[in-house]
Amino acid sequence: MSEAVADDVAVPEAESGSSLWRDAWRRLKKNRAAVVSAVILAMMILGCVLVPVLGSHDYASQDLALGATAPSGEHWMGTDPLGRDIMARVFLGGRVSFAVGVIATLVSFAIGVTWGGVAGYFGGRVDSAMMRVVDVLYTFPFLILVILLQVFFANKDGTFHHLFQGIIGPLVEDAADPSWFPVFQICFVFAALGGISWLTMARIVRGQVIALREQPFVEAARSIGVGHAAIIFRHLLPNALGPIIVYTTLTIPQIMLTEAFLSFLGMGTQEPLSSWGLLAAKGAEVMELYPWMLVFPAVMLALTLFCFNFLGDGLRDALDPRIRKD
Amino acid sequence: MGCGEKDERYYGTTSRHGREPTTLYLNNGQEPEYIDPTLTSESGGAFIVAQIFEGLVQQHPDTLAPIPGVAERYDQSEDNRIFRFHLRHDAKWSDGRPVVAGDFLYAWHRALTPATGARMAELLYNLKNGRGFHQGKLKVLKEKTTLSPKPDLKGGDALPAGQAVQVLLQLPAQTTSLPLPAPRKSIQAAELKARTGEPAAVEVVGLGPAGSCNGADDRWFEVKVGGAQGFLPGCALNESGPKPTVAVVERYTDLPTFEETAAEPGEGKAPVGFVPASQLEADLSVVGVRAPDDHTLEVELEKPTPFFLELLAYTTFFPVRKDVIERFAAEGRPDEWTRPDNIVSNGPYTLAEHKFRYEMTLAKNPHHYRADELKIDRVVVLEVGSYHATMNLYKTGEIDYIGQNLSLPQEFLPRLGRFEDFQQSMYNATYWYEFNVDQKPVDDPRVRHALDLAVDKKALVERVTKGGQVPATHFVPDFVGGGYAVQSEAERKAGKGRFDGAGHDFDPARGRALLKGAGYEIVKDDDGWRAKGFPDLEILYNTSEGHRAIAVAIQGMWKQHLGISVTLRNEEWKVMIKNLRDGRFQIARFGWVGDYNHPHSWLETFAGYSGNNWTNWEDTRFDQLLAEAAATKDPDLSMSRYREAEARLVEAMPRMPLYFYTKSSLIKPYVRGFYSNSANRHNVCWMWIDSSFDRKRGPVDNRPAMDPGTFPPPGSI
Amino acid sequence: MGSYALRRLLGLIPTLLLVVTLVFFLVRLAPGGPFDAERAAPPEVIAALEAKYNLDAPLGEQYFRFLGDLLKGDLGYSFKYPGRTVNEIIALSLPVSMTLGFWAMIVALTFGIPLGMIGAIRQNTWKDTTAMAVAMLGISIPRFVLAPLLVLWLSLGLYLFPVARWETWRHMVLPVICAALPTMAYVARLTRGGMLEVIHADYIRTARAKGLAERQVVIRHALRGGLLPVVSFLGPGFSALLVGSLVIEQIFSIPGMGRYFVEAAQNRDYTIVMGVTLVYGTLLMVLNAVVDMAYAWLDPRVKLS
Repeated sequence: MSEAVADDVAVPEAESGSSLWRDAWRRLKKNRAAVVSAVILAMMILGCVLVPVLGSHDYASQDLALGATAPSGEHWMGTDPLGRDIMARVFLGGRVSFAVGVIATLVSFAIGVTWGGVAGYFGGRVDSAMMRVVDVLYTFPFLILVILLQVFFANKDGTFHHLFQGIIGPLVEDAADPSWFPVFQICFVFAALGGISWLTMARIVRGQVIALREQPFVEAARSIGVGHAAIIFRHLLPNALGPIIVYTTLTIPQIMLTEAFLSFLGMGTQEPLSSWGLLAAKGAEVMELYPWMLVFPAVMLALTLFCFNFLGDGLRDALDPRIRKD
Repeated sequence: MGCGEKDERYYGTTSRHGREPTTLYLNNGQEPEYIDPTLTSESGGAFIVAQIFEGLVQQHPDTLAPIPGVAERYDQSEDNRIFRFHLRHDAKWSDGRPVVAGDFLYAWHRALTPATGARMAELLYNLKNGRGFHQGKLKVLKEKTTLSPKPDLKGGDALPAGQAVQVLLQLPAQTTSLPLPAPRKSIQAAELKARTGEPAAVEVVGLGPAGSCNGADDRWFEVKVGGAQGFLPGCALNESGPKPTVAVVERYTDLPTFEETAAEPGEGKAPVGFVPASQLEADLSVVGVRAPDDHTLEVELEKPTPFFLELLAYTTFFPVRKDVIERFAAEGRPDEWTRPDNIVSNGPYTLAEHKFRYEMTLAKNPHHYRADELKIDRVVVLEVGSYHATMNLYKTGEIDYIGQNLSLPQEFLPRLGRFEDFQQSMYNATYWYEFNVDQKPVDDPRVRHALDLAVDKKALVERVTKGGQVPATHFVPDFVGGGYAVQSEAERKAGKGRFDGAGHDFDPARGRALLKGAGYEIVKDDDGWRAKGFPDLEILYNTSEGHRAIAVAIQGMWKQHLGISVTLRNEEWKVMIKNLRDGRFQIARFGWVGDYNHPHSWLETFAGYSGNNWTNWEDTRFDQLLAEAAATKDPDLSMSRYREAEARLVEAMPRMPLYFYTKSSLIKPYVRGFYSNSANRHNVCWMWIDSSFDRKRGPVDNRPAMDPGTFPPPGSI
Repeated sequence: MGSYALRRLLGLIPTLLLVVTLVFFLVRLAPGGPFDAERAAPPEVIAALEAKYNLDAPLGEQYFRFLGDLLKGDLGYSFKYPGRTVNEIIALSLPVSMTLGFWAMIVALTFGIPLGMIGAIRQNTWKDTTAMAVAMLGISIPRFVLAPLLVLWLSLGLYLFPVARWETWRHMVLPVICAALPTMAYVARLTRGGMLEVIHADYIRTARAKGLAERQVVIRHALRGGLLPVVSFLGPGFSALLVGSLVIEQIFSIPGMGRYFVEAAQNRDYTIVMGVTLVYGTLLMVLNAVVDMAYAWLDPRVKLS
């Protein structure tokens, strides 16, 4: 689900490049909400990295005799009906949710920036054709696409799975171990989500590049023979970085929420892995029986999303050059 | 809405504030695919059909015994093969016209006509020649035709017009890639170049002698394939191309006589030969059902069928109105005859309103012969798919009953158990995992048994499914009728429970030993067991919380007790079915709900010919036992054969049984005439609302709204 | 304006055609067909069903037949719901979704715009943070968590609203609120962002220098500029409501169109997939065209190309 961000952040003057960033940093530091959010996010990420390693419980080991129990000294966040420790699952889920958010956003970033940059730079027929593709994809209800992509590609015998196994082969001790399959499915979810959210990024980047390409420094570079790719990637895009950064930061929570939505429908993260979305979806079903199964993942997710949103808004405020000190 | 008194003994409110006193509100889960009796194949549609249509036989609401429906009495032959039903004279359709035997005849013929697309047509294979007709194997000659000895259609003797024939093969034909049965000594099989998956065109040049293939009667054909000439059996050939030109037929005389004596087999062997395919037509009179007059229906069955009356309670056997259906078919909108404005039905209720995917309203059928006795005038059937929403609606008193087609979520079951309006009963269904015995490592029965023995089924039902289910070591639920439950009880009492004890119950050590015997060494690691060299194994299940929980639990158990890591894969139902059909799985979640209260329903799914057998496991001896059991007149002997057949299955373990289902429901305390039964069939016509339920003391009057009645002892034929 | 409208509407057609073609082939190439059901139906039955729905013809032929029917406005019959045409199904479910979407949009605008305004005027104060925090609820808490919580509190606890279904205006309150929340977040953010741009622009300084009361300055000048991004969001925002409402429809058991997006793809109900895709696409593009024209009318600087 894409948001039409009709942001017309003006283009900074080329000569005030470096002071723009310093100004922006200063403004950002004054935005208390953004700063607090950044701190909380950092702590959250640290927790997700460390707790699964240092914690005393494994996210997948069941204890059927125990069943679901409320938070206690042994299990700080309680257990689920299969006896699995919720805290371990929540922090592992955090890893997965962050990974989904960041990686999918990077995918969307990569595709969107390239697409929009190329379209905006070349203009004319190329631009028309490329934007027509964006229009067509925009008009497509993304859910149908996700389902079909999943059915086509996310299976064991498919080419993508073999590709994945090839990539992790040198990195892990046994790439053929079937417990890597849920990880593959997650990566597939990243790709699917990234693959559908690059559209707005492309539009924004294109808008920026169109405004920038008439600048004198571009013509100067062309006249001394700098190639098109170099111009796009080394000169134009860095100047358009402001809105790109803002939009990227705001895409992460959007993607995390979409992953939660997909997990609710059964098409996102798969067992025995967990993600905040999956845990919250399961928790919402049994919230009258085992409220701790909902509270912890939902709070973690909500807090993270709040923070990303505040941070993103803060960045936007900071990078808007029209704000003067008042 | 849910304002008002909350009685702590019950889940939610018990006040009927804002509800009409003679209307029942319930939830049917989702929009039924069909409410056309001939076409219905899922439980949502079957429920609605059971309220608005009525068949020959009904089921007692409590015991499920057959009781009179449109048929008020029946005659039956000694060998359970011929039945004659006498219909009551006062049964009427909702438009006032009388229900006649011809309505049943039309419905059954309609089910057996392939173009109708009735998915449950297989139930009518119990009728004589039902299978042959439906599969297009039994035809009738249009005109007097010469039966030629060769495909060039020259020469031969003539058969009269209207002669029934059995089609053995239609030409052009091709071979399949099935492995060929071993040839008889005196006949050489044609040499074929090995072609996997690709059918090869076959030229049939002549006929060979009769034979058998995979336990069934067959015939050899003289063929030319590629450059080779020889003989191939019929089971290796199938038709290719859309328009057959020539057919190989055999004169068929086994037509229904509706008398106990069989038809004349005819002199000598039945003549076989070639006829033009254009001379063949379908004729429903070869099927064993006829209506000699408006109030008599005669049925001849293929073989003695001890469960035929139970079978008749199935919706596919209900009557439908030929004139209504044909009118809409002629107008090009065949499925619209079941819309409220168009539908004509003969049950206690009619379809008054249908809001697509939202709710249906049923109203009393004024022409029904028991309309005066019905205590519920209207039924509002909601179509709510979410468990949560359904439970909330029950809580606030907007629906009176949960459990029809949408079960209660399993996590809530223990908590609901303490409410008085909660009921739990056994349900005639088994949950199992299918093995694909063509795939390693489950091609080895020792591995299959090891996997079975390593699952703690008791823990599964107590901790995961929590619905009071019964752990299963075999396939047919213990309480199934027809004498099965009796024999099972008797064996247990004598201490000789066939499916209990060592080799059946949870035994991880034995499982490990079996796995070792199959060649996988088991070592003890620091975090438990590890099986060395065990190949990839995957459990496939259709997307659902319940199935996932079970799969995850079993995954954990196998890791813990056998040291193997399996993966889980879930797919939506349709995709999973396709994968099952194509054999692309190793272990898959499946199960079986009995269509009728007899073990045959479950055991038949293991037969080699069953379309519901995904396992690729076949055993001719089992198929034989099954056929023998069904044909045996003596019910006790028949049941022992069934049990023997089942024992064979348990030994081979092509499927891993997990548990027998239970059905949990919540039903408001003021609903009477509701009985938990193992088929989960609850017809509204027996129910009534007791508005003074909270003021009464003493035993509750839970008699049905009207007397179910019983069949008089059957007459004989 | 009239010729622009016509040009935009005509421009719909090639894009829609591309979308429709893409969907047609994608969904048919997915494994599994519409008739794989629980019972292994005898092959004769499957063949009869496929013939009835013309599935045994080659793919290209099916495609052209489909296009021909489409021109006549005939979207065909649903595979999963026999005897029901796609047109009928859409005619029954689309109004429900539109009603839900419409009221949700009203609620989102009614609360989102003031929250955004507070955020812009009181930028970087605690009022800004609080207002935006309230607005962000919709995109920080998943709806499948929020909806059951609201039901637990307001329906089962306080008996204010029904728990599910779609009958009276009371049934509409909770679903509309839940549907509105994410949209409200975007509206608030866009309003705030748009207004901030204008507030800090030079001509506002000039207006202030002229001595107009600050409140009037804000309302008359900044809000107009702040509404521009909201207006251009209406198109995609409303369409997103239609699809996203699927969670709401499931939880509250509302007979809307959202559920078909998932179900139809899962059931391989080819005709319904096509129908909902068309509706979604057409709606989105028409709304965008209308919005662009409204945008031009609101902001005299914008010229329609």
